[in-house]
Amino acid sequence: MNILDLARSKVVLGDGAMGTMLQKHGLEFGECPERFNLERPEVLRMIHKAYADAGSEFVTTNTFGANRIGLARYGLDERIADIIKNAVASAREAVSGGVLVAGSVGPTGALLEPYGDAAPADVREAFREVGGHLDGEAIDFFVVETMTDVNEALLALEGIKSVSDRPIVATMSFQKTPKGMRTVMGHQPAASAAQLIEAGAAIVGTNCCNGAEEAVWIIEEMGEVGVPVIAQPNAGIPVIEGGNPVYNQTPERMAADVPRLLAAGVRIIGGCCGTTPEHIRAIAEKL
Amino acid sequence: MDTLSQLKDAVLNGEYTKAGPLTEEALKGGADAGSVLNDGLIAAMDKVGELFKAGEIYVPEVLLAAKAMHAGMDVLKPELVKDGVESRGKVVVGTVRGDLHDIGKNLVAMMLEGAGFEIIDLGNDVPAEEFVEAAEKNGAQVIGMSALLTTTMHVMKETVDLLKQKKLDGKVKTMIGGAPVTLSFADEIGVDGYGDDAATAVDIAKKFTGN
Repeated sequence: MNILDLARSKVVLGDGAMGTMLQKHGLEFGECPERFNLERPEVLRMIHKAYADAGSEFVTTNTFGANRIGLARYGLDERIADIIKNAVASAREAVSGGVLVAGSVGPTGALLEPYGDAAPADVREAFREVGGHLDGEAIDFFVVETMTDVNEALLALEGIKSVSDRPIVATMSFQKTPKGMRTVMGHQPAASAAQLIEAGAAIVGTNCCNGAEEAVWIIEEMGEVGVPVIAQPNAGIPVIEGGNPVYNQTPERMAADVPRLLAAGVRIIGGCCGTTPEHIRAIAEKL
Repeated sequence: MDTLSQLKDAVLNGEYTKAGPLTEEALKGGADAGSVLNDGLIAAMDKVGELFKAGEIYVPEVLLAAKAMHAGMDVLKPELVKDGVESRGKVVVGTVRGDLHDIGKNLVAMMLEGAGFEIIDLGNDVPAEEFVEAAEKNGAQVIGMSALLTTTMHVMKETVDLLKQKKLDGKVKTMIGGAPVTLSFADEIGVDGYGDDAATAVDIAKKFTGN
């Protein structure tokens, strides 16, 4: 079943973090997370399998930063095809029994004109390329995620739609401000959701927000949008203990907010930074 | 409206194509470089900081205002040098080693520059030694460090420790900021100042330089 029909028929359990899981498996600071796709795909398979075992109904490829603009910072831009091919293969090999594979598409890290230097056409082209590779590797759907500039998210949708008909989930990161929930670029949940849907997103929502409670606030602000809504919050805000970052939200604490997410209308629940297969397992028990 | 007020508004509204010509006009109209700086550019960026802190404006508006401020600054700089107008102080800024995220650091640099500080921007991926060397070489009073990744935050502590080792602590103040950075982390590693946002970084730098 495709993700849209699935989310219309039931509440769907997503997966949790990739980046913070990779750190546990030796991802060094300053290192490109997608390098694992080339050098240590067995780690990806292990993480994907752990999520599927915990009950995730889809797993998300390690391709968050696999766009030409982002990869160029690590000198890996010419490896983009292999990076994406290996990411999708690792996910496919790790799961079975109808678990879907979502292709992650994160921001380029460039700021758009006029406030930044990136020409919209270049950014759209970078997303078109990612979309083409992921589509070619036969993912089930796209997850455009962690967007803070709705204009960049729209370019991602345009770029992907120009090469693929697969469904697109689009999520943005909002945080608490004196004026309510906003992205760092000032974009609001309801207006952003409307724009993303208008541009062809099949499912919209939020990810990489500070814990499940803030996700509830975001989804409430988003209001009735007419398509299924997804929430993939972080395991709270990292606190520093002995010089190391620790996410203070335990699986149980995070799962305790699941009824509120459901009451707010969320149809797909997963996790972002700091969440683990244990978090997903705890959420599964609440569904 | 007089030219200085127009310049202030242009910067505030991020009208970066107008700010340069208006700065020129203000100077031609007889305003001295110091007052164009203080009553035009700095006054505007002060207000930008205030609005940003209050959640009235967000990153794009701040970046556009900074772009306008820079356009004015390009025109003004030779005049400031000619008039011997001194900067408020020197601040070394950078994103710490292992971290390639420079948006937050750039915002802080722009706000500091807008407040009249001279900025030595080391870019991103900056190791502790480079921060300290740059501060020594340039006679900077403040080192500002940014991190977005939790995994890179320890470089901040290395910088603090290196300053102590070289007996520069107290002479060169440190301040930090960035998404994962908290006040308790700042206290734990012994930095002198922690800023929640770019506007607060300006307040801290002003305090450190005694103006």
